[in-house]
Amino acid sequence: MSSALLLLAGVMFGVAGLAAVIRIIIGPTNLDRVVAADVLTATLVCWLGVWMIANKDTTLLPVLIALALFAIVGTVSVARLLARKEED
Amino acid sequence: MLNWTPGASPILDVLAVVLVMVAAVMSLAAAVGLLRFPDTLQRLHAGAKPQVLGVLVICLALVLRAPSWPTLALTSLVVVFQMLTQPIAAHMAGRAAYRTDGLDGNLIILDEMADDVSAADEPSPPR
Repeated sequence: MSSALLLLAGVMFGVAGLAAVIRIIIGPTNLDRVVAADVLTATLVCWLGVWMIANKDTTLLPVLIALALFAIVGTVSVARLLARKEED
Repeated sequence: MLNWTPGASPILDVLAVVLVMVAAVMSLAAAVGLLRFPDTLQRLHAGAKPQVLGVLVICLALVLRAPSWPTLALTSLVVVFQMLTQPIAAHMAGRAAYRTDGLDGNLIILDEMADDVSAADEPSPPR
């Protein structure tokens, strides 16, 4: 029962990640792509968390910390680049 | 992929699975919003929900599944970093979206930013 529910949760996170990838592909502006990439990172963190919860294995926690720390870099750099372009 | 092993107690296991489902539903809702909403600011609004709350709920579920002090410490770090960085990222993205026409003006009811922007553009009157 728990295993099936966790599998369902994994599939739902997979669908969410797929939607983010579709938005990255079609997104009309680069900002849309960056926002979608952020959502993809959050989905990845959640998915790794589900894997750890299912296997009762905390090996991947440092990966989670690294993802949570560095997800900001892409968004902020692209946002600043776009804002600077607008000023020119 | 999934090798289910019983955790500390059945009640905590059930609670953890419920929390995981909450995060999954939230993530799916964010994905639907990301695909369906018409402009960048609305997509940002939809996408920002699972980035903090979803990760928080997943980390809580992980602590319930494998209750130990190192797990609690590392998941707290994840949550703290996520809470520190995601608001900054969303703020920067929203600011850039407003300045690069990332919002559909016809869909907004009240744009308080427009007054300030036009006031900043005009030369200030001499005192």
